[in-house]
Amino acid sequence: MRRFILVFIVIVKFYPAYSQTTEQLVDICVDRMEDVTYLRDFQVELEAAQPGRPEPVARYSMVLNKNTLYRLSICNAETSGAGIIKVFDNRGLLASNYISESDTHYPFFDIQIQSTGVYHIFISFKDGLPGRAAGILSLVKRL
Amino acid sequence: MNRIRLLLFIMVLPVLIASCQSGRDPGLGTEFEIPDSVIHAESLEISEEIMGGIISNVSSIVEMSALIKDLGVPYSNRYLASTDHVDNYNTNFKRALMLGVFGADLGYLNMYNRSTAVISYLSSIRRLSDGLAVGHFFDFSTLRRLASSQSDLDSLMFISVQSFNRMDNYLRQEKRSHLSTAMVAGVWIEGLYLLTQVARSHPGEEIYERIGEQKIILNDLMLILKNFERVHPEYAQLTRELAPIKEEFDQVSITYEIGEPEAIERDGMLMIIQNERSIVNITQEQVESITEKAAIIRNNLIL
Repeated sequence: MRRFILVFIVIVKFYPAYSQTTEQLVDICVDRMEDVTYLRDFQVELEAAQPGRPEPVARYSMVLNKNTLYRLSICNAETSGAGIIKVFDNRGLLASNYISESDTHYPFFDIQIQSTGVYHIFISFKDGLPGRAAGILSLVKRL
Repeated sequence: MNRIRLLLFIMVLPVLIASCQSGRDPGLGTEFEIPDSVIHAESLEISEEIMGGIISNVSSIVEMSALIKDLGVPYSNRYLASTDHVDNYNTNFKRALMLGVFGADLGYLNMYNRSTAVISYLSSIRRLSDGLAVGHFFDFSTLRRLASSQSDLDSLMFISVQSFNRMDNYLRQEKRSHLSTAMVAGVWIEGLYLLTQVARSHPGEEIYERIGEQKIILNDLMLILKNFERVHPEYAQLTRELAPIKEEFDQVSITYEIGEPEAIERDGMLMIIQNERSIVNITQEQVESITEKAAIIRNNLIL
């Protein structure tokens, strides 16, 4: 009986860490932001990449405006792979928080937009690992 | 036997906790059925997924309000829709449309820290969102407290914007994209009205350019509104009302100067500079004509 009570206590104590929701990740990410205005969040849960198949990616699109400085941040759950956020325009990759050449991973990056239009935001996890993350788009300032 | 029951209880416990804690879809399953929300997927020409992407493309009212404020334009309640007629909005289409209009006004009020007026708009938003069974996405008591105390206006802005985003996502997930579309149309119409009215009193290249850029959004908006025409006649009516303004925007041209992006690292922070530039070609006459048409559409809407 004592063993069952112990198992019960362990489950209750550690479950919240395991179950960190994407909503909670949004709050964590927003709490870290300073001097920016929240515009939108992207809540992502992806499974691990399957052998021989493309890595899972969550895709979003939205209009970004000319003469504006935006910030894109990503916060992933402790148990997840490192979150990668990429911005594409109609000509290709424009920006990312991960520089593969130097294997550098930034928690956020600022992007200065000079052309109003539809941009595509892709979120994935490094090496196709499974994960849960929240991406945040915020307004830094108008230029 | 008791041990087996206890073991089963322990196995089921995480599932119970998970169902209580899940924050992905707040209020999921608490919504009652609304007859006109039932749309058969086969009657739509654009899939829900593609439509979701298009809906998200509508520019943020926060950015529009930030532009107006940065231009040094003083606050004016003349730009805002009256909340006096909220009881007249008695169909789900009208509720969703006006939710968008008041949401846009709320963004403007938040940007100018007009917290007293915010409370009045929040009350109207509450009535409309309750009517659509999506009121649970707004924590009205917290929003009111923040607005009344003026203690944390950044939080007021964040919770307001986030509540609208969640409501919009929920409507789309629940296959009620027609309501999400109406709400987005309301935001866009009120945003355009706001921009054009400001341009009338504070003309300038920057605001003209932002008006011209609305061409990009209107094209997508018309596409998704048309998608519901066969199922809901109100959408056909709105499309007809927007047609003259679309004709005006068709005369506006946007050109692009191509350039490669640059990445700069400074103090451990990454900054990307886009070197492509968009150039909007719009005349004062075109702005005036768009202003006139936008006012007609918007004023008909809020009656």
